Amino acid sequence: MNSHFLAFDWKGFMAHFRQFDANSSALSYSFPPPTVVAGMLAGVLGIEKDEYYERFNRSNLQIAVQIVTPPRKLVQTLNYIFAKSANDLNMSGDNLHTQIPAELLVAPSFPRAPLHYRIFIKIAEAALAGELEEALRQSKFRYLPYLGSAPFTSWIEWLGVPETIEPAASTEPVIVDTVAPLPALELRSLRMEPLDGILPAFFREHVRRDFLPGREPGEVIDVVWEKNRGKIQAQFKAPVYRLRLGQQVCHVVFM
Amino acid sequence: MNNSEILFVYDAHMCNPNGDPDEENRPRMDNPTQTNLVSDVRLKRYIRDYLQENGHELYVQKGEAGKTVNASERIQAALGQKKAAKLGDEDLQTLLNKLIDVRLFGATMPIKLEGKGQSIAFTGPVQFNWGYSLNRVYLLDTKSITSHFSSEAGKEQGTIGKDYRVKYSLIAFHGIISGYNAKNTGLKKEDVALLDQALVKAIPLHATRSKVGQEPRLYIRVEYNSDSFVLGDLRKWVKFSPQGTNKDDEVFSVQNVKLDITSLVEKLQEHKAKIQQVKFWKDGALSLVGALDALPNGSLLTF
Repeated sequence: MNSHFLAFDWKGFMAHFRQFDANSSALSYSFPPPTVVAGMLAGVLGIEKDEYYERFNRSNLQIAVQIVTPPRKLVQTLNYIFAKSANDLNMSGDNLHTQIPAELLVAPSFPRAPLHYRIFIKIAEAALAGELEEALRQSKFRYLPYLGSAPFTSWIEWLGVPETIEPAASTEPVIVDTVAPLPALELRSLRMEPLDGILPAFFREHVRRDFLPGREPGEVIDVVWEKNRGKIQAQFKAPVYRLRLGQQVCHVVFM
Repeated sequence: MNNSEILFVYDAHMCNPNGDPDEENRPRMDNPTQTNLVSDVRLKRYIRDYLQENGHELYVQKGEAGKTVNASERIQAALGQKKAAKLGDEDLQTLLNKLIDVRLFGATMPIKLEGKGQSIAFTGPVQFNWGYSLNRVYLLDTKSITSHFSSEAGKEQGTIGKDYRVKYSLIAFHGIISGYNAKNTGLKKEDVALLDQALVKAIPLHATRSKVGQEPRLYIRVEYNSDSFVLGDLRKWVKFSPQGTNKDDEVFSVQNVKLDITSLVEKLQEHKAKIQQVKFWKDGALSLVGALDALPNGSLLTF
């Protein structure tokens, strides 16, 4: 069965992608993890929470994220309503508020430039690919896209249906442009040497790949991304896709 | 209901637009870029207070002194019945009909509906992103202040705290109204008109000592002709430049502000076919470059 590829840019001035294993401090990933992208795409099609996990499962829809502008984190403490139960959510509890530190993401030159992520999706089901392409191409949204948390309004710039070039050779090290899942890399193959004269700075984050039906949490993986050039040179076990978008060729590995 | 996007600009002169509770209540700042920040909930709170003062019943509000009304009790009071063990869809509609803040901003309510869980969450169709200053913001030197609120009951002396203020901050907010989501909370056209009014009027009415010196300057609500399209964040087409001075740190009042919305107007022209109407309000003291010319009748907001 042929896969369908779509690509778009996702931008906004602020974001917060809550780490699933953080405690009461709301720490953020530096990029939208696969569960966030899947949830946003389901929302765009108007599919309710808890009703998309099967169709948007990793076996049907795979997600790759390129961090075009590496974000900067800033911590702001939020004054939340203190609630021991839903009964206190109208600010009726004995303690009215509780203070929660939250990491927010902004572009380095905030607010003169927005955050910028490039999203690639690979879909097995033709009907779903068609629906998503129509919605994203024409900016026709049911629920509006937001960057991780409802206040962080955002916008989507459609890039197109990338043309797939033959898979990159897997025996040689390749330079990929996206966040890379560590299980996709050959052991000890990550190249630490400078690339184009710039020393790489790697970051590792711990994300969930997807939700399973019934909101069962899916597999957790470590992923790696690079801050200075946005590129990772390594030898890959998993397929690396060479996708052509206009004049540009991107090397993409799905999470 | 159609989608709308809001651009709202107000300024803060020698006051504290939004303190960070973990930083001695210092104004929220992105320090590397000297950008002043205001949270979405701070703005929503101005609107809630305005609505409450104008006699609207709210779900999230402080009880009167010495009287705690928890969420279940408030729901029961709104429904006018004594027990609300199991509510039907009709009761939910009644509730939404009464509580304007839930229709606008959503809420989580401890309601047991047949076949559903312990509580129901409504996502608000109206969302604001965090506001940020369009100018570089400088903080005034702090003073220590004393207050008559003591830290513990029974103590006679008050507490000592810091009082931080911005010199001048021109704050821009972006908001959306999701027509698709409006169906879930039953948001009405009248609510949106009230939101227009609240944003322009609420802030100067909130005259506590840390908030005196704030004035609304510009309000634009672009209403599209569908519930599926938005342009994104309108602030990316708004440009601030200082007036009467070349130095950032000499921007001290609205007299030193020039706001250029030429790019925004061009963007709106480009997408004219998707726009139903534009609601517009501007403070007389603001120098605005770029006119929303040929505004159709009824677009100018007057209160």
